[in-house]
Amino acid sequence: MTDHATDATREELVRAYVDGDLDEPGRAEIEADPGLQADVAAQREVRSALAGSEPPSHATRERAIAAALAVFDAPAAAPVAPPSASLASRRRARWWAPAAAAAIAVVIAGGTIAVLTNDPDDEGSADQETLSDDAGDDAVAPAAPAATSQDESATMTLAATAAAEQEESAAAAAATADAAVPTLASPAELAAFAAGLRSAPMAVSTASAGDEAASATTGQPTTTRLSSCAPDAVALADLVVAGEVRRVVVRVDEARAEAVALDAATCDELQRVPLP
Amino acid sequence: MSAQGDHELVAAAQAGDRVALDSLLRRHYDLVHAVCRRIAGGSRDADDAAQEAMIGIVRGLPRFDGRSSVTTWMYRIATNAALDELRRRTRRPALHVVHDDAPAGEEVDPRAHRHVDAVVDRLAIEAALERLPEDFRVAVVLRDVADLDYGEIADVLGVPLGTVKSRIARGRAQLVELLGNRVDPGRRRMSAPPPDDPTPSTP
Repeated sequence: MTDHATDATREELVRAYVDGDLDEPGRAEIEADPGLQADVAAQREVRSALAGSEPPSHATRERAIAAALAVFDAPAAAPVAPPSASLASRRRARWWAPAAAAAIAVVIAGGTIAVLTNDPDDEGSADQETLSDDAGDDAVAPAAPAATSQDESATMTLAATAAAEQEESAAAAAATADAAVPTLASPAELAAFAAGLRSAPMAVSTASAGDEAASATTGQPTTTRLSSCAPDAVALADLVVAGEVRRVVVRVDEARAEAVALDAATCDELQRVPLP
Repeated sequence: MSAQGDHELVAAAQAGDRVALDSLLRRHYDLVHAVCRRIAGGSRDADDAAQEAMIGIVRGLPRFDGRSSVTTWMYRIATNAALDELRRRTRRPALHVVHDDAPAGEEVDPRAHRHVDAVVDRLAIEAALERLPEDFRVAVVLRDVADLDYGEIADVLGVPLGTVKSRIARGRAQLVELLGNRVDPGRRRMSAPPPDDPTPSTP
């Protein structure tokens, strides 16, 4: 080693020698210097020690790979309703709404006219009655219930259609909501998600599954529902646990500064992690 | 399937082939875990970081364009996951820093300067690595554990080649010093550094 060599150049020289990144004169310099050779030996020892890391357990490996594959599978597990279908559904609903209202109005108006026409106290009606013959009256009389039946049928058809539309919209909303529930692939993501909840306004209220779905459509952590699992602020999420996607209720344990995931179906605690 | 290269497996996985993805993850998991272990430290943190890395690989799959090697891409994800885990741990209250899987009897008392055989005590190595500046540690681990070449490390870290070489040189030298070999070059045993020893200064 030359006199002007600094520690840094010594280290560079040894590094290059160990990695086979040194030219012939450099190698000769090292091999001629017992001090540098000792450094090389020490670095090689450290290097082999570093490389000799303990392999992970089989269970750890399988768990990690399963979690990753669950993320890969996640989109297939929660199909999203195509936006076009949803839009088409809404368009149909918009078209049907005035049409249904108009049809119902016609039916009501028709019924009213029929009632007025049959009012025996009404002079106009009496005049009209005089214009009609008995046969005509006979013919009209049985026809009235038939007409009512048709009206009812039409009303029922409209109601059924409206219900079907509503169901379709609800299904589309539910599918969208399901897809919008965030998937938390790891404890770290759970912690980050829960940390987001902490900063969200705590507006806890009772809520049904429908509310749950509706709030989930925002895609944001929500605190506007009360779960039977946890009385404090919670949100829904899909959490990957041991390679399986589980629907969970997330809450923040402020006392311990931890995020807690409870199984949404059983309320069992599945995971507890420190908040970031 | 095992004959397939990484790029083929990635392409197949990008096309939705779950089996190909499974093979890719299995092929690299152990080394990813080793990198995480050396960067993040404790085995529990390494497990978490390696799982994060596996998930990160799956999530990043659609964006991988093949311009870098698959290993470079994967180790970049693993490195970031391990560093994230490390930073998370440093923010965590000490109460939570528990390595459940480390047998109580294996715990090192650094003050005792207990020597172990030439086959290095993993706890001593971990303790020394933990005291290494992060930049040095990552560079050394990517070189000596992941066996990446300088160019790949430069790509992973986004730093010039010269910086990579310098960090590796400084990192290894400090590791040797921390493990005691520099103090007694003839010694062929390593000891964990005492916790109160000042970390060697960086240039």
